[in-house]
Amino acid sequence: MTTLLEATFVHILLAYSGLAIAVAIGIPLAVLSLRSRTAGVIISTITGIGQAIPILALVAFMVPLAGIGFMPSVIVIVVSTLMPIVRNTYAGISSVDPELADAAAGIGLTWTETVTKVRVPLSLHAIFSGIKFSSIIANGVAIVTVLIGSGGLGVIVLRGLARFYVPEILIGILPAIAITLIADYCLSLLETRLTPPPLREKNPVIPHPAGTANLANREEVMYVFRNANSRTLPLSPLSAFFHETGHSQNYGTVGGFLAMTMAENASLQRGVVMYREYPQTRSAGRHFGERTTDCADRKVIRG
Amino acid sequence: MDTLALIAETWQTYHLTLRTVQHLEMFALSFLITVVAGIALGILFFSSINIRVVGLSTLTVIEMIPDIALLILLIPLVGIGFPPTISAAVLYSLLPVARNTTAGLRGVSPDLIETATAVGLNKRDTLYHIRIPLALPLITAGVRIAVIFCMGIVTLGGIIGAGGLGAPLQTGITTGNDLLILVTGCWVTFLAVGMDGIAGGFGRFVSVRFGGRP
Repeated sequence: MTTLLEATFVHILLAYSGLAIAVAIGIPLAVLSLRSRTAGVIISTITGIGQAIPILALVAFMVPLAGIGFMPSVIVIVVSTLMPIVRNTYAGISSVDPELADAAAGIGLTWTETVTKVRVPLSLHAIFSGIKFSSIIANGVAIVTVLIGSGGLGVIVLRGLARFYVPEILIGILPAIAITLIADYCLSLLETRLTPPPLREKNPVIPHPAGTANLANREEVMYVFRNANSRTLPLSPLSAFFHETGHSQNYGTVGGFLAMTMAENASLQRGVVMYREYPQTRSAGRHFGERTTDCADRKVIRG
Repeated sequence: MDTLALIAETWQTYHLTLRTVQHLEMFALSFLITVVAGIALGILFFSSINIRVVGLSTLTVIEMIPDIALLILLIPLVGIGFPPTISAAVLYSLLPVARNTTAGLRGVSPDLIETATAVGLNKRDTLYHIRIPLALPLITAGVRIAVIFCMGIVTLGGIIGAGGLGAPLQTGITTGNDLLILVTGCWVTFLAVGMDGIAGGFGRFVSVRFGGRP
């Protein structure tokens, strides 16, 4: 007899090990789709078809293909949760403003860095909605896989169904729903945590960025850009980008270059840029300040 | 030939023709209800902001429950077999249709609406002759998701005694009948992918016909 606690534990282990593997495979696959057109077409066709296959059929296919037990169940969960992750990640990273990607390439970031430092941070919301949807699927599949001997909450549900004893069915199913809701909340928290601070607000009132503890030998400056005809503030991405690259050594230069790119960028009407000057690159920082004619305000936050 | 004969025998023994008919009946019923109710809800959500907020958040909460859990939760309410399967399929698939309909209706360019008003169309005419046709590409995208959801849930219904092709799948799993699993699995996959393909083709047709968003 499986106790509820054990069953819940197995359920969580099953659903989330599958989901973790799917994330680990799915995000690189989406990046690969971005890199190669052919791979993109193949991957999107397969994920498109895969998404249409009923879960129960997937579960059943495991019996002749991979046998029964815990591992085949994990495989089913990986397969069924992979598709939303790949699709959403690809949709997110491929729809990042091309000018931003150009700017990133312009300041000398490699293709890989453009993906890890610009495209992925900017599409976290899309990526996470894929993962959240997949988490719901994983919880459902983890119950169905009891048919192929995965164990977990499904055992209680199946026993309840066999005896048609409603309380038992509910005891099996309610923890699964609770887990789904809690996981959704946790994923939202994680998303917020991973999002670069300037991107978290709709109208970024540039907060003190996280991790400014050891800034003793640095001056921290905020430049505010405004155009006379400014109408909107579509800029949070760039400031986030600044924040992201802010950890690299050549930040001053990076900042200077990017700021010039910004000033020349017609679509950009107003922006708040978080900027840190390093002692060794201060001249680059000044350069940046002088060259940017749109710079309306320059505040030394701390120095 | 031997394989074919075996497949034919399995098909006969497990009444797969009957199962397919049941399956498609449940699918057709839940799908039709979803499309009609979903589009109606979408239009309702479009017309009233209060209803939209309440309705869409309710549907979103339902969507956060795993489909099998929803199916099973409905058992105490509506019994076992056919009714919970249909209700779960409808409840689960309503959101994509309703949300896409509302988004499509709201997304029509204000310039077009202004033009329509200028030529003397009232709100109702604008809705029927401008907004709905232009929203069709998005609506069909939602309907395509509904096809996938309904197919999946109707198949799951086999577990809770609704019949359909889920039933022989479960029989195959519990008795370890690999051939039955492969035959039914491939057939139900073929049906699902085919339906999805038809919905996709219809969506492309509508997008080309009515332009706008793909």
